[in-house]
Amino acid sequence: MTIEKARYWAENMTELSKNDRLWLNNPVIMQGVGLAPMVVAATSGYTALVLAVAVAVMLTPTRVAGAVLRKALGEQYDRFAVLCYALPAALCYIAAYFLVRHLWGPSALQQVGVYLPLLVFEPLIIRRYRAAVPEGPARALRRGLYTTVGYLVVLLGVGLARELLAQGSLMGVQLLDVQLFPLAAQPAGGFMLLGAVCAAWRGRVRAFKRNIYQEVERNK
Amino acid sequence: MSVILKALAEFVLYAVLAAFAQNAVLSRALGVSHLVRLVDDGATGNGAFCLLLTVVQVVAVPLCWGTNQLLTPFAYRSAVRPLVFLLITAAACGLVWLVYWLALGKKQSDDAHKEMGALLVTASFNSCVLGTMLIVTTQSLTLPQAIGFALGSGLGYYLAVVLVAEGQRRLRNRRIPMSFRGLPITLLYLGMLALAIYGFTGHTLLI
Amino acid sequence: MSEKQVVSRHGSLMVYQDLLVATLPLLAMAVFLYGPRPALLWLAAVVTANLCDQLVALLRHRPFDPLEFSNESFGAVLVLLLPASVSYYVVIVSVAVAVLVGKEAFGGLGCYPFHPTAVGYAVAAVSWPEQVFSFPQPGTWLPVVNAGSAGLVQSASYTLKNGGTPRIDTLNLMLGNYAGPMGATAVVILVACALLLAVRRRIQWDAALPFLAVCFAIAWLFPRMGRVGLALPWVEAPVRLASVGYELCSGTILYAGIFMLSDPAILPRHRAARVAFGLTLGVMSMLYRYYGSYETGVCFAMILVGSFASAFDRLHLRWLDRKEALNQ
Repeated sequence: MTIEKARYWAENMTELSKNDRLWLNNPVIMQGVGLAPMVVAATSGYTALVLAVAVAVMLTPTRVAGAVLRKALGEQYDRFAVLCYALPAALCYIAAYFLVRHLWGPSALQQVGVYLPLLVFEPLIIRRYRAAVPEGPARALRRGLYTTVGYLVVLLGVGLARELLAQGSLMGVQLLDVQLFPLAAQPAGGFMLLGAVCAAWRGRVRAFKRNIYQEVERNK
Repeated sequence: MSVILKALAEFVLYAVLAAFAQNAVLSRALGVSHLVRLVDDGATGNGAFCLLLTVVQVVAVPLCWGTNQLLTPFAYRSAVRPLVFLLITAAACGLVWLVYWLALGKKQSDDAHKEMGALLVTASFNSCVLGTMLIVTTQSLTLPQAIGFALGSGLGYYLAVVLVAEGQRRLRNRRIPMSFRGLPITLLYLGMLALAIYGFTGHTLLI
Repeated sequence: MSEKQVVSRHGSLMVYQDLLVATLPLLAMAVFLYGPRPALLWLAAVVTANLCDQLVALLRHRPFDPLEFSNESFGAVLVLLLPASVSYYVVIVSVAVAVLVGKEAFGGLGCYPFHPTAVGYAVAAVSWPEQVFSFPQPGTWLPVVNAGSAGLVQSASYTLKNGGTPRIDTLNLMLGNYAGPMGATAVVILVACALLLAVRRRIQWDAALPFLAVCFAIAWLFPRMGRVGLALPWVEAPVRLASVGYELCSGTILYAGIFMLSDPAILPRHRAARVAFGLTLGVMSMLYRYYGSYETGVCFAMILVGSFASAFDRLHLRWLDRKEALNQ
């Protein structure tokens, strides 16, 4: 990284961190949302992909709809805040349901169980209702897309990792004959693996920020 | 009489099952995002949140059970279930608010109303509530079983909150590596508690 | 909490050295019964623990202390809970999880809420139940490299769990001459180890005795063998006595009471609280044994009860405050 870039990062670290939904402010790693489907249902690359498609269909449209409804309701928003996000989420779920069913059939829905419809109340999708500051539809669209990408990266990564550790396969393709860590297929293993991933990720982010500040300090 | 006793026995059995062996947080990770925030945020009373969650669940589950019976003939009931349950949750939330208003509303200040309202909404529109409603309908429980499960699920959530809150002294230890502080160590802690519960049930629950 | 405070709070780091040394007689018995394989498993556990210790020292930028044996003692205690036929891979993974996740992630020595050995054993039991709960017959010298699964049998705990009555005579029960965990079956040697630890003042009697007493009481009052049912406590005394013998000796109850409850880090601080902790742990352990899915449950119970160990201290202090207020 050049010194100019480092200085720019150092001066705007808070803002840049906040906007970076993939790496520095990932919704799962940094904000702790969307945990339930990841811990219990995303036990393989396949189930993680099913959940990923549903999240992709639900998150951004819900956020945009919520922003539009908030603007439309004005002062009355506080009374219906949660419904402004939960109702669009429930409607988007219908689309997600049929898309998943079309792509993979009813068995995919059975494999993820209640964790697909659970996305309707998942803080990842609807927590924006609590925000004090409203956002415009364009910002909601941009933020929704970034958050979706950030969540999907972790979801797919964790799903694939759990499948590899528990079954020795990736997306159903058997790579290993042994089960490296069978507990990874259970919720307990999901919690532990996610905790370890969070720790490693946060450690890397801290190291990145520390290097930036040290680089700037060295070149003062 | 035997029918009533049988229903009562089922109610108690499913309540105990939902509170321990099928704990909402430790076995199914329902509401875990809220739990992590709740325990971190000392301003919100854990007990009040869990009480409201349990009450809303117990009120909403019979309604969703009944509605599910009406939805059974429809081919794509699974697609519209969350929407219907959302409306039921909103109704249950409104009912609880009404009871609160009638019982205590006039004695409380405006700030207390606002706080109570915010807490009630968070407790109602919680993945633990929706998850419980979905489980009782997809696993075809009878009405006494469903209400018992709802009560037990709320109690189980409170148990998980208490266990995590109890562990906070260790989880806020300054000797924990920086990378593990906060969410990572809480997840590891929950993972170990989930392991202990799994040691009792010995099998993965139907999701 | 500084290292100094940890050491002073937990008496001496020597407790872990003593625990490590106390595993050696049990290991010797296991080698006598199963050949050199147990010794190699023990070595694998201790070396894994040591390497994890060095890795953590490297990552946390602190000097590695070669004379601090807590990790090695956890590894040694853990491996003796497993069968002699378990694979090296299971031992290495479970010790690594015990040390890295069970201990170091929570801040290291004295900071962990659950006994690391209990965590490691629970992970092994859930991940590889076919290996952890199948035991070779004593007197069978196992191949050093790959023990295989031929000739493995279920333990007496399994028999009890399925409503049967084990047939092990008292001498064999005392000497550990029956299928079971490597280090948890030889009662005579366990008692000798307990005496060694007691002389060194390592055993926390205020937790261990109530724990064992409750296990004894439950095994006596509600035996799983002999169809005693809800008969009066003095009826069918020989059956009850046999039940106590099998429940305490065939699983990991006695072993846990001696080795795992000696770790002051997981116990409450006050004596009365420790007694309550021991009693609760005993009840939960027997509940797991009787109704849980696995034939041994003390490690799972230790994790669950460990999560509210501090509550015992708090309740004790509240009780003291109330007592003081009443006296004033």
